[in-house]
Amino acid sequence: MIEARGLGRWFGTLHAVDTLSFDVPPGEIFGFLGPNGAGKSTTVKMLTGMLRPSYGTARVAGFDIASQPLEVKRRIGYVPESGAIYDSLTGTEYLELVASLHHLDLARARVRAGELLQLFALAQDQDRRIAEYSKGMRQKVLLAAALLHNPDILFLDEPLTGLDANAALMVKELLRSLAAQGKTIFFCSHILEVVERICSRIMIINKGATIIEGDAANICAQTGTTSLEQAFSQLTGIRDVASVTRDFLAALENS
Amino acid sequence: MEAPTARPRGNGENPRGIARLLARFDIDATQWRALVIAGLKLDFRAPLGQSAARGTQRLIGQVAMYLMLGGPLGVFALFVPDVFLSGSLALSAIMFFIASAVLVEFAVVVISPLDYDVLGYQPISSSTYFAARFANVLFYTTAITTAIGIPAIAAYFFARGFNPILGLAAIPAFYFASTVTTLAVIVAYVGIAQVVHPHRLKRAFTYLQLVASFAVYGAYFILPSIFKLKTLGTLTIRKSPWMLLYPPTWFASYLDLAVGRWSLLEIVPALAGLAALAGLAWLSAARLSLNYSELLSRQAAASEGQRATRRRLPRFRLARGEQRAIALLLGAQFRHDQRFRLTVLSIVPLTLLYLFMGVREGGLQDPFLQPILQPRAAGNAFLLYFAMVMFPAMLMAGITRSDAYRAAWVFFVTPARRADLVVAVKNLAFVYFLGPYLLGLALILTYFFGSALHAFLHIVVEALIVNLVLLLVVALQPGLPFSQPPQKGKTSGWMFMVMIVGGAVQSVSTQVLGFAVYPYPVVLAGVIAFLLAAGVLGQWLLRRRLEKATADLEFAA
Repeated sequence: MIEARGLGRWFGTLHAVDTLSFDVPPGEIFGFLGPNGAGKSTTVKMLTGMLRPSYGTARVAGFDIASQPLEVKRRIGYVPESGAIYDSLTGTEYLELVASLHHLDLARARVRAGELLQLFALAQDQDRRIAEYSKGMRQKVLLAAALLHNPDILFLDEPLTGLDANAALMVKELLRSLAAQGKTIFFCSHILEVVERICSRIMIINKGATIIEGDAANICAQTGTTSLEQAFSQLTGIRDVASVTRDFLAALENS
Repeated sequence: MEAPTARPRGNGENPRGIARLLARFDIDATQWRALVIAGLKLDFRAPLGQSAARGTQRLIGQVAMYLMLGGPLGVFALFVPDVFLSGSLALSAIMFFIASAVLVEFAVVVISPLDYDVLGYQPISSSTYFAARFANVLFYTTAITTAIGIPAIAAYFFARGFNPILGLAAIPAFYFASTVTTLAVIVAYVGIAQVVHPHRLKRAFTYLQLVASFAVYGAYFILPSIFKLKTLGTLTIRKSPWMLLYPPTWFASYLDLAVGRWSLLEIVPALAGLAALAGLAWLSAARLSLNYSELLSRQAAASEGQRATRRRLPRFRLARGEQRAIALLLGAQFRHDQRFRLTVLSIVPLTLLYLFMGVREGGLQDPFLQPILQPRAAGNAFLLYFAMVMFPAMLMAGITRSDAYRAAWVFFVTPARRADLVVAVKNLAFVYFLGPYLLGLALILTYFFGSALHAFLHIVVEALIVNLVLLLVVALQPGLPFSQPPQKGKTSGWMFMVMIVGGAVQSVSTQVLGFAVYPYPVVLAGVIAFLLAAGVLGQWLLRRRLEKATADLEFAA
């Protein structure tokens, strides 16, 4: 599970994450939302050990991220928003690299990598350089790498980016099944329909701080809206979408 | 992806002044200015989490280093009576540094398709885009020229009493030479890119860069020996027409003209310098720039289109964990990352040149038979060992800084031990690159020494010293592999510092070996044992340092 207590991060004078506290129990798909620049990716980077918190604490899988980072990292899988990957490697080589970094048994890791690549329909392309892959194929490699060591907790930052409809459907189903097995899934996405459908609980942040938390129905009820999309836009700035749209159009006509 | 060539005309007004001149070359002044300013902002802006003061400190450090390099040129300008000779030497150095900087750090930027992804669909003409990229490079080369050239330019004002005409003549001489060098290297790069298929382009540039660096280093080192320099105060040179084929003499002729020498031997090379400048500028503006966008779009769209090569660096079947991961990554990056491959391979022409220098002056004699006493021979032998010292620093800089740094998140979210990763990098850098390099050198030295045993023993001792240098380099600048963004100017600065300090240490140790170690087998055995023990101790200390030093590392992207 994931427990954050008063977690925060400064970048110079920018307060990117402001005293976040939340719990994500095993078996939950936790939707972590916010507008651009809200601090989502910084929070994920702190929880995955890529950045140190400026203050506060967090425990992931029962281990403190600051004092026991390796124990945390053994138990997490991560798909970064940036999609950054060593594209000089082939798909197979990249998974082998990740397996080595996790100290997995190579023979077993190879079998598992083959299965995952098969699952993501990449078996035919596994010996091609990632530089030759499409965006969706690269994303599939990242997903396969995140699942390779069968982690207890998954941090997925925009995991559906670039995936075709079939692959996206498969990933969503996979996430539900993993959650049913007791895995904890920390899910960041701007596709609110997906978040509404698969996340059992949602937290929305803005300017680094929590503004609401609960399941989708609860959030809609609290904001007096009928969809997560409406609730999100109301909570994060754009209160009257129709009026803002009219202003945009007027500005375009005047320019 | 083809860049649109439509060019907006600002507010619909006709361009005036410089903008009008630029427009004749299809360069939109407004866009050009915006692109140049944006490029410089990107270069100078401190990375997230780093203070602006740190960036300023780094800049000050670089300027200080170049001023230091320019100091001896000022001494030459002040004390050598022949301004043509001192000017040729100073301009050789300037052109060498500029060519090195452009070759190592900036030329790749000119043909990089990276920001074409961002700008390719904007209404920017090919010429405007090329002019902006070129201006960005020219900014840096002009800054380097200023820092290195200031001592010499200032000295020319006072070289023969107060002589403002000579000082003023030095200004165009230095800046024209710098600009011609920048243009020549870029024109060569972009010119090659027009005719080489994108699939093979990166590889071709790697080798072009190697050949070009060989030529630059070669000219820099060999010309002084052709000139037969003696001592500063008596240095003079008799001009001959063939000497004027050497580009720095074109610009040095401005200094001769300034002190009143006006014969064909001054006027013709001075005009040649101007013609080179005008010719290269015309070639860039009127020819290369027209196809520049197309070139970048071909680069951006091109994929290797071939299955992963079977030629791989060995991965050591027994290697596990961090060691294996690094073996995989180093191998793949060497095969496919042009910047990294170039860093590794650039030691080859440098070494060949130093070997050539050693052969010319008798510096490649067997140190087991006689110590190298003749100063010039010792100096040239020292160059070879100096290359050995330089290689670890070059390697580690190339391994740490990479265009692929964004993918280094994988080292931060996996349970890999960072200290083990860095140690694996150090060990595999030795096994993959330094080891074969030293082995090759042993084979070459066998030919010159006439004794395989002596050559190999000598290289074993040198390898153990190089291992200590490598440990020191890693300890001083620990970093995860391919995890830092490349920074313009930083590679050169770091390398020059290691060259100066490491070269001095290596010079002393090589002399000591010849006098006090090689003649006595027992002492030699003791020294080898000592160096081995120092290596083991160094590795242990390095690991301890890395445990602390790498714990604070954060993902740079």
